Amino acid sequence: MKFTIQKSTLQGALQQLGKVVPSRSTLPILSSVLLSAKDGRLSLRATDLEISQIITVDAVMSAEGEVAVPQRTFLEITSEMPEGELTFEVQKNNQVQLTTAFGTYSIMGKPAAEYPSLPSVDRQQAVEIEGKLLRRVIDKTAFAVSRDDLKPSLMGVLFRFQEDNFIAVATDSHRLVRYTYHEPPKGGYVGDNIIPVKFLNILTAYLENVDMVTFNIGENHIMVQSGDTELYTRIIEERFPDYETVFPQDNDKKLVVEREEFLSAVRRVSIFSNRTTHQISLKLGADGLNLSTEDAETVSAAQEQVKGVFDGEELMIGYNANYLRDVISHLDSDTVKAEFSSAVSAAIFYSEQQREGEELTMLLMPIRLSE
Amino acid sequence: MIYSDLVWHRRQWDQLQTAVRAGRLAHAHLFHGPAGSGKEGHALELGALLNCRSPRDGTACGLCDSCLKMATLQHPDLHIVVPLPRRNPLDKHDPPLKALRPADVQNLQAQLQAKGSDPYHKVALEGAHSILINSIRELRRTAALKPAEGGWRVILIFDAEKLAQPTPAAANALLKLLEEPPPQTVFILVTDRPNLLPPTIHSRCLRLHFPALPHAGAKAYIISRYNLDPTDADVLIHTCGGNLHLARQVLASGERGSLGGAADDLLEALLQVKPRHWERLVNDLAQLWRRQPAELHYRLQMLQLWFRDLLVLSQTGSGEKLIFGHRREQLQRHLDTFPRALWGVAALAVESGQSLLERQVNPALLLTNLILDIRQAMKGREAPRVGSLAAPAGPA
Ligand SMILES: [Zn+2]
Repeated sequence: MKFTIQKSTLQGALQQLGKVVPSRSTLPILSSVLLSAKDGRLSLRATDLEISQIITVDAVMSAEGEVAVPQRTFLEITSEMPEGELTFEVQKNNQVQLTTAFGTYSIMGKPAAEYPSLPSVDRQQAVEIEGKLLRRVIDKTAFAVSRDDLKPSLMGVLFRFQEDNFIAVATDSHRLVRYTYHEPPKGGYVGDNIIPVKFLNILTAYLENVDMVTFNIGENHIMVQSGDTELYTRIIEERFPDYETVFPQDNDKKLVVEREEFLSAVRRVSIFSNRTTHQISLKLGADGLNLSTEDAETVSAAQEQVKGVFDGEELMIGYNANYLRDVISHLDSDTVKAEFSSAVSAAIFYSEQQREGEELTMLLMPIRLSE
Repeated sequence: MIYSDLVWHRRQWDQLQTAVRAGRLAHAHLFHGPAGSGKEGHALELGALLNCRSPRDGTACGLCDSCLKMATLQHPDLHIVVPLPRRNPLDKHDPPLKALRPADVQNLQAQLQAKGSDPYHKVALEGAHSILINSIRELRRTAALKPAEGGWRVILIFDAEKLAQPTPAAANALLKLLEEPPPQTVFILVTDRPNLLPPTIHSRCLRLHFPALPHAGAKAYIISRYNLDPTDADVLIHTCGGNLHLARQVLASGERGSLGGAADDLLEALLQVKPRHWERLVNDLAQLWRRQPAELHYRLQMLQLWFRDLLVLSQTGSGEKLIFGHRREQLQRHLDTFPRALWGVAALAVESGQSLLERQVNPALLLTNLILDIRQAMKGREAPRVGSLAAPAGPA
């Protein structure tokens, strides 16, 4: 195996793969990346057995072949090398020799056969999504994903591809986000998949300047292809709870409030809340809402009035300030609408002006106010 | 098969592979039986068989790509849970390996590699007294994912009794998984001490007993691995009661040129120590128990074997059946110094001391009594102090 490549190209690919390479693992091979030179292209692959990534880059091939090299060491070496071309050659026993204008360097590789095989995803079932849209979906949902391993179905975002729309849902059972896009996804695939949040967080970095990405849905894996990068993840094999039934139908107390004003008031008041419960109270009335908190432990308290329009019977309701802040900050219109029923039932939050073609709705469960 | 020299327990294996063939394999097993009888090796063979592309004669082929990954313990659907030391504090959501220092991770990697090439290698990390709840949390998270290769997910829990030590937190965390197992998943819990596991775990597992290895099988393994003289192999296996973990330890120490050397310090201290120095000896040993329980076990085991040799030598007067035959002079010196000693009683005292240590009896108290018992036995008096400690903990 031998090829010549721009050092910046190689360095860039190794850097990106670093996000997938596990920092600690019982399998030593996982700290390596697999380099394959085939058909005039060089591909580099990393995996933690849950997520795999392949980056294909341009290189001038002299001889095909495969070898696994330690990612961190290899990245350190390439980072220190001068700009320009470098030649990579595998010698006997997976010994790798690098040659630049300055000198030659040698590191030990491992046989490619030891590297985990690539998940198989047949490309029959696929949808195409705009990179920008997918990035927005991830941004609006991933924050609400649960970290509780006792409810593994909630540890990812549900992607529901339907005949005439596409829905993404995330919840940790304290809050729930539902994002609906009112256009059928291109490609004709219909089905539900729960995608681990870790994968979505890695994926989102690749979507910034990309027009279209392809979602390939396999038996056990999903592969997202975006330009020269392929990202694979195992799917969560669980049933997502029936989220539609938790949306309240008769929340008759309605609040309209400036989003920025609301958000900054929540931020300020929450600083004075209890470190464990983060409890703040909202008193909803004719003039809008009054935010308050009190922490007996640190003898601190705060209250603020936020102007707004409230329609309905007065109500006092408690929230975890962090959850409330997350919900408001992930809405993006100038004004927020919220609909309440009682101090013990879920409230709905949404933007007063939804973006064209989409609907973003959030549910937030209150916490019982302690006296 | 993935191991060339696993000594097969035919009846147990037939039961397992018949169930596999009939598609009736229980989703959770508890492999129990004496240490070093090959339980873990059989568990790995079962995992390999389940995922093998072309099984032969009721075992995994050992050649297909699945078998090759199983044989090196690198199969992405194989999860091995072992007790880990807690060197760093862990947050609820931290991966278990975060508890380890880099050197521990390397050690664990090396030991798993060794396990891949030797079914009787015992994966044991210094200071690993319990299975961390974070290991079970990680298991719950990954068990919810679809399998990586589309075959069976094989979850092996070695030293499973440590799920319940010091608290049953990890055992309880595992319960929900055992109650609602993911599809195409088999759990195999492996333990030498099933009685330390809570009944809730027992009731969810199919129990399969692996007795001590038959002499001939263990002998064949020892001879092929260590190129040992057949007579030496006989003695070794006989003395180790078929426990190949122990036999391997004895041989490993022999390779260091001091078969039995590990017990020397302990023995010398026992021979010379004055009552006023006991406290320090006991403290040193109790500390060793906290930091490196395997090391203390090993030394006690050596001490026990040394006492057995003294017994054999005193009764036969011949060096033929000795484990520490190469140190016969020293053995003879001990016989001459303690002509009335009850060596068998001393060996038994060490043995029961070892099993009590496992049950978390106050180690300092236990070791003090053990030293007293041994010294009494060396003077020719029987005084079962260690044994009396067993009463509050229940029958052995
Ligand atoms: Zn096979």
